[in-house]
Amino acid sequence: MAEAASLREVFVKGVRSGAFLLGGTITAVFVIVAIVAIFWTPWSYTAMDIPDRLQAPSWQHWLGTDQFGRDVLSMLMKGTHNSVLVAVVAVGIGMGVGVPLGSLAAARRGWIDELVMRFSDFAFAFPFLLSAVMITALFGPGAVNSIIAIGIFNIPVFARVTRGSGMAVWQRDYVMAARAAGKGEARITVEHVLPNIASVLIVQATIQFALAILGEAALSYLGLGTQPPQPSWGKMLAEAQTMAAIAPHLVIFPGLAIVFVVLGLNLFGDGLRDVLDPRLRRAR
Amino acid sequence: MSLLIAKRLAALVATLFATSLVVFLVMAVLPGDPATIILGIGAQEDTLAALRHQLGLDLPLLQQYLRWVGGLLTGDLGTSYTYSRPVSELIGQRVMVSLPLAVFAIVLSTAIAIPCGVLAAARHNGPADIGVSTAAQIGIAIPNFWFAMLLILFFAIRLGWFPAGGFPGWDEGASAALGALVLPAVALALPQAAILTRVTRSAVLEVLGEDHVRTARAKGLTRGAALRRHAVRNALIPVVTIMGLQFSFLLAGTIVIENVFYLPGLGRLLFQAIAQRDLIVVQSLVVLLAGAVVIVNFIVDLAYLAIDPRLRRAVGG
Amino acid sequence: MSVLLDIRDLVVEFPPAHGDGPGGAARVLHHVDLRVGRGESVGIVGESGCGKSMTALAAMGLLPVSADVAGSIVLDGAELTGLGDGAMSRIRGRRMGMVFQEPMSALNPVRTIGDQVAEGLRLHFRLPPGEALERAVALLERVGLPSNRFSPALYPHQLSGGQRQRVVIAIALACGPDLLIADEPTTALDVTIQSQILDLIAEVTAEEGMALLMISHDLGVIAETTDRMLVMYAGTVVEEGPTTEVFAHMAHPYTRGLFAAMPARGLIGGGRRLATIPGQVPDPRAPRVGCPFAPRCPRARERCRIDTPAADPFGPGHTVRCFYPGREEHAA
Repeated sequence: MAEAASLREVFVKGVRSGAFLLGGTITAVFVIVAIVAIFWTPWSYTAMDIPDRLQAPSWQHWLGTDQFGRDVLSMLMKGTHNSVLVAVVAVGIGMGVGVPLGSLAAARRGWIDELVMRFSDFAFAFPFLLSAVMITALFGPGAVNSIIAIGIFNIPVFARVTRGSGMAVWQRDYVMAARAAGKGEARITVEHVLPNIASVLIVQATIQFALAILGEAALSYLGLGTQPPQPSWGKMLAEAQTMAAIAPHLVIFPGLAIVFVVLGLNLFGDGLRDVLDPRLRRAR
Repeated sequence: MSLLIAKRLAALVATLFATSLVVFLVMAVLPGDPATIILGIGAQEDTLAALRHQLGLDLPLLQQYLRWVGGLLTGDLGTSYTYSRPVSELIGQRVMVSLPLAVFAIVLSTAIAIPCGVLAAARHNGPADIGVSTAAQIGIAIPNFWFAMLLILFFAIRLGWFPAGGFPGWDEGASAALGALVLPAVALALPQAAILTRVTRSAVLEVLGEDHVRTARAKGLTRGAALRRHAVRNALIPVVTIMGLQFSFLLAGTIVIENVFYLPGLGRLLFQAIAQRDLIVVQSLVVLLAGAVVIVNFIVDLAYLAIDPRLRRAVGG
Repeated sequence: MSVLLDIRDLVVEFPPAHGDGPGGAARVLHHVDLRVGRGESVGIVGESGCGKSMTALAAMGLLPVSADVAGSIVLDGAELTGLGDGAMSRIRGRRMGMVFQEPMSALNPVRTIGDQVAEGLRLHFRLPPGEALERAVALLERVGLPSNRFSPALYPHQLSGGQRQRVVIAIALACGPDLLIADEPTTALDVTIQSQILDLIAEVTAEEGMALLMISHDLGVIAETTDRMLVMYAGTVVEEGPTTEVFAHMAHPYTRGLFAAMPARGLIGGGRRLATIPGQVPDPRAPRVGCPFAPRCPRARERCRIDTPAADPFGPGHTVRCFYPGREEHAA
């Protein structure tokens, strides 16, 4: 029985799964907004308009304006772009370093495996946000450093997942056969191991993506992430805090954006897991 | 069994040692000279040198490290560069805010999550289960600092039930101090409760499917009694694991939440100390927080032994 | 002998789960009748999936919540179907005890064996903890776990499979039930332990005058422990009668098939798979026409595929559901 579901199968199952459909739609909307924000926002996200400051939502400014009269919708859109960018690169760093490390540990075992595992144990002993705050604060605040901080935390996550699922694949008969046929470790990893654990990695990536968005929001809320004049959801919330009583819309919209995208990603990940999990497929 | 505990204790000490070494080395290689921070950029070079000597910064690294670790063990953590007060005194004051906050949040999160998770499992696929699972799914997606702001908006500004921030201190009476901690604790507890609810639900569901629950029912236990007396206790094992993990998230959460509520706690102290390059405070705090995480993990291991007798077998209990 | 357990016309169905694909409800029991007299030991034998365990679970009221139950289950004159969980719980353990197949998983791993045996006593007799534990120690002794070697403070993982099964038996016996139901009590055990456990069950039920409902796929176990036996196939009782009578004159071709599939080297144990009967058990979701065994039956004729045979008398107390019951040859 083939382990990986065919694309068509995934699509058909996905349409039947409510979580997958809803989560996928929400995620797609945010990705589209992030891309659109590169070229177009309703207003300039930096243009200040002091007379029109702190306006409630209206036809002119759909989500109102902030304390400098900037259009909240435009800032949110650009903030979506910045958040998604940080998360994509951070998860990319995690996968780019973690997956090869985990593959190596699964293929070689022995001291390399031990080293990877102890390193990830150590990394997990520190709360993620604590390490991220330290890294960004010590190396200076900014989008790049927050990407690095979040990315570093993702490395052991992907290393562990890759190692765990990879080791199971290495036990399979056809891998043994490939080995007996004289194929090298690298070739077996690329031809057999990675295709088989791809679904697990994709599901993990959606979860880490959601965590990265939350992490970026917290860092920029603390002033350690994305720097002005670039807008970010966390920073918008930090600035809105003192205005909460007079302009609650400034607090509500950026928060809702975070909740929706994280919820969407988590639902998407759960749905994807159900669709891709071979165990569940067999049970049906 | 005592051997097992001794082994865990040895690992605990080793982890703490490794942590202190890493933190010290990271701090030592970082740019930023404490003497310059204390005296300002325009200070004379010989004054700076004198101060470095006084702080022990001209000693070899190993000696500096030993001095610092020796101080950690005896409670002498040195003097903060920016506050000009003993670090131990600073930390002592702040602990009285952060520790009650963390305990408050853990108690709240557990008190919400375990009943909700058990209820959802007991009514598997029923309306209560769907309601609890949906709420948990949303709860996980809510950033704690945003939830904190909503709480302030509603309960502090609109209703005026709790203060919007700040901390009156314990001298002003416990009720005022506790009142100031209610909203921060709720904000910290919510995302944790959402995760813990999901873990509890799936753990109880798994145990409910096991054979020994059927044996209990065959004895004459009602569905509810079998759930209470057999399923819940067995399900505690994964739940306690997650609670241990959550403690470290909670500590990290205090950095953000104490900033939202302007609470003078450890998280805010750490944040400010990092921003002001008050390295001696940062060093001690990070080791302290990491130590707290390691010690909580040790307590979790002890809890396993109490809950699951099978683990005691390994050492011939 | 007065009737203790009287099951009549029992039908159990599972509604189709969503995602199961086409097909209606799965009917796992088709109008099952079963009577157990006071102090009598009755066996049910059949392949796995024939409905023997379902019958036992139905009597205990332990079917999954999704099951639809029709028919009547009367214990000592009282109707059990339709009782709520609370009322049923007062009967379960008190009037009926049950021993399960898997002793490795049937006990709660985080509670002591003394506690688990005492739990039923505390529940049904409201005994104080100390007294309940004393009785539990006596019960453990009764099933061959004397307290000088087997402290009630032991945990299940500290015992072997056979010892755990003794604990499960002690739990089932604790409140002195009128009926002990044993569902494949020896299947998961080592061959050498199997006869010890069967002897123990036979001994305690005989001493207490307790009725026994023994469920097994192994004709040897049934032969050794029961007075009367039922053979079930695909949710239907196909043959029923005194155990010696059924063994002497096997009437249903399925019973003969079971007997032929038994290993020759001894009555008890070793009976692994009944692979020698060709074909498969019918799908419980498929509508039923004719004799359910017809597709696998060497004697099946046209009539067997159209009409459903009724339970007809075959010998003294012996009935069989077959149009062409065999008297002639023995195990082919």
